[in-house]
Amino acid sequence: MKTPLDRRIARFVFEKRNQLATISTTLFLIFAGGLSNLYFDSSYRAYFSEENPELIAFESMEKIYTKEDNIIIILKSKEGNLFQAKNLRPIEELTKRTWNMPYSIRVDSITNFQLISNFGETIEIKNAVENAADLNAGELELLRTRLLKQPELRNKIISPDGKTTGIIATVQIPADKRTEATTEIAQWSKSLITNFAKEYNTQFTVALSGTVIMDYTFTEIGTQDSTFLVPISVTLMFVILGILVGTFIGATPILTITIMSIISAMGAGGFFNYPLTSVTVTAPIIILTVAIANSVHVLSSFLDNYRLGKEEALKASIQQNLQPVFLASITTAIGFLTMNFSEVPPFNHLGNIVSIGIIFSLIFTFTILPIVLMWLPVKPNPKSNRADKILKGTLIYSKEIVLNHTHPILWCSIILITISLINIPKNELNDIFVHWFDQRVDFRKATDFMEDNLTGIYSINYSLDSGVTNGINNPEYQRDIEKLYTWLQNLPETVHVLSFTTAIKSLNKYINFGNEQHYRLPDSREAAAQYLLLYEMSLPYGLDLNNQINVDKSSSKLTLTTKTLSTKETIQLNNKILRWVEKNCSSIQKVHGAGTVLMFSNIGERNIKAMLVGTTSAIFLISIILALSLKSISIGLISLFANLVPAVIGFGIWGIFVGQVGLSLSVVTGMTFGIVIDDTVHFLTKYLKARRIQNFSKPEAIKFAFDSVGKALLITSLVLIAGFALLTTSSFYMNSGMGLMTAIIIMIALLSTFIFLPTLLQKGGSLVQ
Amino acid sequence: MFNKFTFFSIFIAIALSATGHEHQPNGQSIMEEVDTLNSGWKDSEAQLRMLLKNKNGQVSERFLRIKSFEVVGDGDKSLSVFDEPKDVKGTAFLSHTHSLKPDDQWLYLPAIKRVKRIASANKSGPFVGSEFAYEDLSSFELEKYNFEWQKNEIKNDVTYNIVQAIPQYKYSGYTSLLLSIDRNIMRPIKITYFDRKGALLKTLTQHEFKQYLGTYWRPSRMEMINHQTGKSTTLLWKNWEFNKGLSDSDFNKTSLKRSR
Repeated sequence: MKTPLDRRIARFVFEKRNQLATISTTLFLIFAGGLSNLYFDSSYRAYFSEENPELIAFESMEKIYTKEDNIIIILKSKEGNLFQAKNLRPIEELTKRTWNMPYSIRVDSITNFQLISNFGETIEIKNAVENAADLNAGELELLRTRLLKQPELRNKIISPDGKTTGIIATVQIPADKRTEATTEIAQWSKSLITNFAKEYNTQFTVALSGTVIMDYTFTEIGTQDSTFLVPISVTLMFVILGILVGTFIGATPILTITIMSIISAMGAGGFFNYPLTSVTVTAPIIILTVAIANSVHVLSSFLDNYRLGKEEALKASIQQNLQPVFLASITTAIGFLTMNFSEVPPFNHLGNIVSIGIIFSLIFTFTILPIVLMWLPVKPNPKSNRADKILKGTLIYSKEIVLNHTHPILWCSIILITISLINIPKNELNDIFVHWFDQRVDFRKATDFMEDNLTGIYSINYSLDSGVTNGINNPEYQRDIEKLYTWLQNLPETVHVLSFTTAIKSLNKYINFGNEQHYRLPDSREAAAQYLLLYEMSLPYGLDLNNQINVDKSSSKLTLTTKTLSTKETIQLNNKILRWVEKNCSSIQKVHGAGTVLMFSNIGERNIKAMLVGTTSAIFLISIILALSLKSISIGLISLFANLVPAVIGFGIWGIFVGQVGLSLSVVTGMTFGIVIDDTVHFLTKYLKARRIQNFSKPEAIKFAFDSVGKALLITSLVLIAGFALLTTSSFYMNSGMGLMTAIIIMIALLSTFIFLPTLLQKGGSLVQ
Repeated sequence: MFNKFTFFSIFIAIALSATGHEHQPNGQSIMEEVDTLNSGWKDSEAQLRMLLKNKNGQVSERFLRIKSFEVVGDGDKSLSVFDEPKDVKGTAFLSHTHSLKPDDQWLYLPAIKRVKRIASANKSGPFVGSEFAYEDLSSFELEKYNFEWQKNEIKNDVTYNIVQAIPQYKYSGYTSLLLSIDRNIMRPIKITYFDRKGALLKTLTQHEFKQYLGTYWRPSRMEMINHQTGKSTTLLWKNWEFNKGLSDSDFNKTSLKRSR
């Protein structure tokens, strides 16, 4: 009789272990070389692919008008009135200093706001505050009244109560050195406000926000997560493994080859030119957690067979584990590869890096681990320690429950699943992307502060195209914008609206000798154009209208600042606005909205749809692989069912307690499916072996499966739960949310494998092919 | 009171500055030479076409007629009339430039048939939406800058003096300019602008110089590129005329109204 394939491969692996180890080490060294290619991409733009329609719209708007990246310094007067010489002087000074910010092209503040006035036929356009120290009480009061009314400033740069103000610096970051420039600007700004806060700490509360700070925070958190979480998780894994396996010497090679897998996978990522982002930095932790399982099975069997002698034990372990570990690795890799369906490039990269890491760990487990186990004095711990007792106790207990309480388990499961199914719809797709950073993060604190005291943090830009050159001078066009402006002002979501028409109205008034009745749009296009020309000729460097009007004056930009909205509300609001413009503004030929908030909102929605397709296909693919290799359709179906349950219950629990699903959670299902199926693979392999080869009865086969893989499964699950639970400490929600949900699902999966799966096996599951 | 020692130190100082002169040209004197050679043109007229380009490559045009009047001892006077875009046709801009104080500026708005005086200290804003700041186009006066010679460059047998100019006007948009003076025609053929934080902002290159009245060199094309925003502006000059016999009265408020 011919030896089965897996036996032959196992023998080959065992006999050629020295050569294979050499090949693997070479492979490792080659891939490790890719590490030098890795670079950090801090930009929030990294979350969007180049084909992302909202990113394209956003960038084309940036090309037509001006870039949108900014730094916002928020200053709140502790006494409650900014309009005092002692407060305005530092603001004037800080505004001037902000001009020195690297890459800045524009600085807006209450002091350099270009206030229009007239003295007879003379039109004066100049900084609202010049030499604040010289202003007397009357002038200050006048200034307060005027600036608080100024539509460009109110609720954007100054709070209506006159307590809080902002200095907004617009920066132009060259695309080819985004990360360095971001860091440079952020650090420069931080030191600017630190010095300022020190000098004026009795007068102002100071905070720093803006998109550049957001980008910088992405990097900071990514670095924090990788420099803080990675070493901790490595240590944690080592300790857990050592305790659970009962031998720290045995745990060392496992950790070593896992780290080798991580290095190779990250190196591969480097060769693919993947940038490091706050999402991909979790790859090492995930590989560490997921890949450890492979080697644990090999080590665990090796220790179980130790009494046969070292060499035999190793041979037996390879033989017993080659097929299930191979299968488990492939299914897990497929699970992670579903991340490629995501619209968010960092998730694609994470999925690919982790999959590669898993494959490397599979290779290293069977090529490097064997020789290391032979070299090292690894042996089972003779005295059963406390951890071991607990593990064994747990196993015996679950075995008992499963075999003796089939019906209650089934009923409980059905009830639990039903409750979960009912609650899954409570999960709403909802991301508030500023809330991706938790309250520990400075950027989040500053942004919350800004929202509470000054203005909204979300803004959408609308490019309003008249369709003809110089069309923005058309009175009809300007009236349409004015209508839109008024309508937007009255929306409950609106915090602030900015349009060039407010300046035109103001010009009209002062050109007509300050007559309040002329605070309206001019009647002729010539007047509008000429007023604008006068205005443009009077504006200083950096404060021009190029950020609001395009070069041939055919379109203008209106900026809407809103309260914090969820993704769904944002999309609805945007659609509502677009429809309104189409219906009510006949002179506006084309309108489109763009802004980071729209980008994040749309990507969330599309991502979830893409992930549904991806996850479903992965589940099918994995189930087919499983059914084929287990050679039974009904067993395949049972395992599919048993593996869907954890995700169902997980999302059910989430629906009850949290109810919001964002970008990060949408990738969890596919990924966890790949992970949790491993338990089933190992359990079923043993179960079927017992049924088919040893002709055991169902309960006997279940007992056999428990005895042979139960402990390893418990250990790997605990390792996985610990690893993903560690991610929950990240202050970045994309990582902490994913970590928490995955940990929950794996915990449920463990229960499912130990209790639900055997119960189902007892009720059905024919062995027929 | 002279004693031997002061006499000696003065002698040394003169000697030093003389040797220094030979190896290190003086920025101020180079620019004085540039200024002197470009003096005496009295008045001029020319037509200007502006091409504004954004990062997307979209282009927009402006047409102007510009009259200039040389003023000795102060900044020049100029009168610009817009022909295009149509909406601003007939709008006329009169300016009496000054070196270190704000210019006097008036704008005639045909839509309301009025002359408005513009009180603004700003010379640093973009001129009609272009990449040229108003201060880039207004008359060149020595007092506006402190000059420092940097080095000489030789390209294709032409010597260029590279001179740094530090603006002295409080509201200038620049910290410094780097001028490349072509020794053959004694005109800057390239100017690099550095913004308030000292970063590279724009580069102006001047092309196709023509000589008028056998003395005065004027470029036919000027290219300004903004390195920070990627936008650019081209100025095309034509029909230069000099010595048309214009007088001071062609550059006052009343002349502004009839300047169409």
